[in-house]
Amino acid sequence: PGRIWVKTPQLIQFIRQEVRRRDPMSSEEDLKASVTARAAKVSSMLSGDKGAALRTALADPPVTSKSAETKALNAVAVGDVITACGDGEIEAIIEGLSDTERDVLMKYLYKILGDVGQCDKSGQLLKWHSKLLKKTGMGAVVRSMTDRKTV
Amino acid sequence: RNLRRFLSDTMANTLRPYLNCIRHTLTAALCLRNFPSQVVERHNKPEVEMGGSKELLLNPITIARNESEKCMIEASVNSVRISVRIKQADEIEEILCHKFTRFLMQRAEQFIILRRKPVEGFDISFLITNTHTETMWKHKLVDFVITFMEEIDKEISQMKISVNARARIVAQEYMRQYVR
Repeated sequence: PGRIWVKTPQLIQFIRQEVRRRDPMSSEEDLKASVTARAAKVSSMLSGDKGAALRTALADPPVTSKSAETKALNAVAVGDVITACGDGEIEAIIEGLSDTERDVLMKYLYKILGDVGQCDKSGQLLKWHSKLLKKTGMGAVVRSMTDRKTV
Repeated sequence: RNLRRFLSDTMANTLRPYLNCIRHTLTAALCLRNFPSQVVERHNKPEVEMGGSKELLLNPITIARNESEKCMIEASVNSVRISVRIKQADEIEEILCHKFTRFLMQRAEQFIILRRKPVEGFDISFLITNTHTETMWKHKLVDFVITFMEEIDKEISQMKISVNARARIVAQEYMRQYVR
């Protein structure tokens, strides 16, 4: 009683419209815009609280994006924060991150370590890697290898 | 000689974190289990080499220390491929590295986990499958790969020193006939 049967193509069209309406960030341009905005915000925060800058950079990574440039842009933002931090601050900053943020950070560390063009940062990144690993354990490493949602 | 020892100490300081990172990544990647081929019945192939089914492959991880030294770890459900690019500063080291790795790869059967051909862009590759992790200790396999990476740099620089020393002696002996 009270069931409405809608023809299938119309139903699919309705669902698509609803998804587009409810989730406006799913398009490429939107993702790119949010990443550029975030990169600008992060570079302005670099002179102040580095922990907050890192949390902003790690928030909501463009995992659904199919564009390599968008992902590279976000990686540059994260990389900037990492190189801007001194050695003594690393542990404190990692303490302040949540578990999901630490996972995302591990993914970004591997992404930037893998980029031969940015190998001058490798010393810093390896320091971050060992300290982050001490905090998260092997789980973060396994998740960065197995998660299909690459950063 | 003191300068060389100083340089090797400073090199070791930057090498340690690089090797530690590779050690931990490798320990995470070496979780392998038997997985018969989904394509051909009764066959069991290392999925990282077949590269067919995406759901069986993990994200490859590259750890680059600088332009000339990097390590790529590609894992799958039943096998892991580790490719290493060894530091080659000049032509002599390039030739020595090429000859040395060729010598090792021709004897790949003796090494069990060595691959006969390196992956494109790298100097030497290892292939570790679930059969290896079943018969050998995982932490020892990781130790082997890390020690290998450490030792190969030392071996190549030693070979280069001995080549240079021999060349100097030969040149001296040859030039002696012209000096009076």
